[in-house]
Amino acid sequence: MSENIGGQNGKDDKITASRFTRKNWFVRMPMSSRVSLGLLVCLVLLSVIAQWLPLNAYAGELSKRMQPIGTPNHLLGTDAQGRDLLARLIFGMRTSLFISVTPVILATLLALLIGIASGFGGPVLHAVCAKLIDLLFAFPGILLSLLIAICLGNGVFSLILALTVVWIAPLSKVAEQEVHRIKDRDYILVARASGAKTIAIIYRQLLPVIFPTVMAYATSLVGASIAIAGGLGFIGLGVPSPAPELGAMLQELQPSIFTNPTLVLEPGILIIFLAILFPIVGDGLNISIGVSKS
Amino acid sequence: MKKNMLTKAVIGICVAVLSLAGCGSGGSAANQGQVLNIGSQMSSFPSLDTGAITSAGYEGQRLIGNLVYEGLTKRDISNPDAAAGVAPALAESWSVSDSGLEYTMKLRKGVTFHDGDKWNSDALIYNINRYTKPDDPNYDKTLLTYYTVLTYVDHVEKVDDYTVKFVLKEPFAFFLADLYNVYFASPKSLKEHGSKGQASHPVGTGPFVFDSLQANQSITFSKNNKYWGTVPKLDKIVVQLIPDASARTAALRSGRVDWIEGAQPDDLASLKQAGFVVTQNAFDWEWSWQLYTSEDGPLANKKVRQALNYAIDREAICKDLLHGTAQPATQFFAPASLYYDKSDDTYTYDLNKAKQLLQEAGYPNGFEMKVGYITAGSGAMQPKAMNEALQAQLAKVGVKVTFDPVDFSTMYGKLAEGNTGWDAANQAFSLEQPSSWSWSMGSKEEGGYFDYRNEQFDELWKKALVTTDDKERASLLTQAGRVATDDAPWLFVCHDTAPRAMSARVKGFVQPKSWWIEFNDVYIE
Repeated sequence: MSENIGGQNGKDDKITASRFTRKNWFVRMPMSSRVSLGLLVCLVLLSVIAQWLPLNAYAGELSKRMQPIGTPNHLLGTDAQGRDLLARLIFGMRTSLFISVTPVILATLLALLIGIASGFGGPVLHAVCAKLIDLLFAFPGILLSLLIAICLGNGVFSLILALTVVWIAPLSKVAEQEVHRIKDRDYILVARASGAKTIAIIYRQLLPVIFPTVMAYATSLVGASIAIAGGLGFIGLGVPSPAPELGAMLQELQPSIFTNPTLVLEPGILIIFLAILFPIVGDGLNISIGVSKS
Repeated sequence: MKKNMLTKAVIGICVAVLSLAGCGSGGSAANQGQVLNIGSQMSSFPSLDTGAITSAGYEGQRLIGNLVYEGLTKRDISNPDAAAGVAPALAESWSVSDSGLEYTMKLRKGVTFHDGDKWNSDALIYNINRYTKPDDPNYDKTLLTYYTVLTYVDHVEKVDDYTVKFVLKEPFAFFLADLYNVYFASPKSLKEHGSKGQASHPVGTGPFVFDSLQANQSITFSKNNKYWGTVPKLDKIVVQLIPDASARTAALRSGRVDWIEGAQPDDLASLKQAGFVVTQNAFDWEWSWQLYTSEDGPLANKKVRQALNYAIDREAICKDLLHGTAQPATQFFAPASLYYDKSDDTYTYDLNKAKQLLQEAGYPNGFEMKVGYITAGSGAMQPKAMNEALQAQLAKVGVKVTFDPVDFSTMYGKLAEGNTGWDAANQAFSLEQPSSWSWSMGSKEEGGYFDYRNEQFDELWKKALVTTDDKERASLLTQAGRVATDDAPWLFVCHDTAPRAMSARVKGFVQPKSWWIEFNDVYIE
């Protein structure tokens, strides 16, 4: 995201913004991203409608535990408690998506606030924001999330908070850069000269330009978010049992890696799958609506 | 650029997820001579100093302490079909005064420490002073915390070179049983290397001599050719730290170790199929939830506690989840306990009865409870899977369980501190040791973690504490157990049978009804 790519006079930025609003962004994405987006939409839909499907993620008989893939009524086998793995994977995916996407959305909103405050709030606020971002950057993300999750204990809330804090730093950095890149552009100066209020400038002239870039970046972060949430779940800092969550499921099945390797792979593959799809979509969005590479 | 980043992301995530799923790395160690490599569940080695070894639990005592050191008594495992009582070790015989206050011990003659020092009354008193006398130059106050039995001792008199008399402050009928792990270190070694020396260079009288320690990896012992009892057939025992259960199985399969402790029930069938030998035997091991009975709330009601005990399907847990590596616990004592009486077997799987009892107690829709459990370690069995199975079973009578999984030391720190915020704690222990009774069944004033109060039980237990006649004491304890079974201060779940797996080349091992095992007859073919 260097200075000269987006154009010097702001014209290209306007065009970029309108590209987004013209809604042809999907067509402009590479094929891989379009396919990934399609798959993601299907998976998200599946997890949304999961509760109306004939799936029970909780009922299980110990006598029917660790059944292999292809067992009647248990297409993907059963887990260590005899519960249906297909149901648990779908509900687990729902939990994983929720605890991975929510923090990125929250962090994006906060990052935009921080970026705008830094750009429009005067030199002192700019310095404070920069230091704050540096401070958050100083901690490795996974350590920071571990620390927060351990301090707050188990549960959805603490996981979401932990991951939100992790993503604020990188997203703020991008948002801040974008704001600083745009804020002295001609069309913004013109708007200011014609008497527009700062808030209106931010809303009308600034946000439409920086939001696509930040969003494209945020989308790719969801993949990492899923991997970290899975990791925290794996070490027992996730959602408390018996609620399904992909990382915790992987941990639960892991002792069977030699006796039932295919079962262990199920949550692992789903985590990898989700974690890859998001960055591919993010990349595609960046190409189609972002300003950095098109 | 884009492709690059994507590839990196893909590879990174694959590596992360696969390493989470974890595959144990298989090393190979050529076995020469009679070397037994053991894969242990321990995650780190304790201090190797006598009592401090206890901090690694029974496995620390079994695989380190009992190899190097010995106590005056030991567990009697001569008959693998009988519950383990007390057998003589460094003491040859003893007599107890009628008051129950004086124990006269005849010490075993011809025993030498690994460094050649002689075992006799002086060596015994030298060690006891180290444990109990604050003005002794070797005194180490932490050791006494592992040896609560010694707090009953007023003083020790030397009668002659091989006879001593322990004089107790008050009668304590478990004195002999509890002396089993009061280890004796060589006075010569204590003089040469100081009191702290034992922590890294233990010198005792046991069947194996400490050889070397590789921090966080393995500890090696070699055979004591001058052992007073059966001289071991093995030349060396190497105990390796492999806390992860599937990594232990992998290590056994790859031949890195010949023997694993805590074999995973799910792995047993395939291990047997691959020609490995699986041993197990019932022993006095209580895997239960200890309920906080004295606090206001549902669990203060006996009917509720009984209802919980009727609501769980122990058979399913033992048979399906644990593949027969546990016995259902239907009363206070394990069938392998010295105090078990079959006629006291009470709790069956009876959902209707459970519901009816909850109804009578005023909780027809159940209630919520929070349970702390130990996540791993020797004797914890399969804590997560077992607790979650119980959670699912109790949900059927409306009891909603949430968990607070903690590690071994956190558990005991929390219990000792009180205010756990839990309604029950799950940890496993043996009732062979009376100290287990006091903290699990005592009132707060007596050091009980769960503030259990039952006059009838207390009376029988206190009487048993001062009854030196073995039969009479056993009968009192059986009666106390009967009271506890009915009162249900625990959720009785199951008794471990300590599954281990070993290479078919390992011979001569018969697993006793105890957590205690001996390696003297074991050899490699």
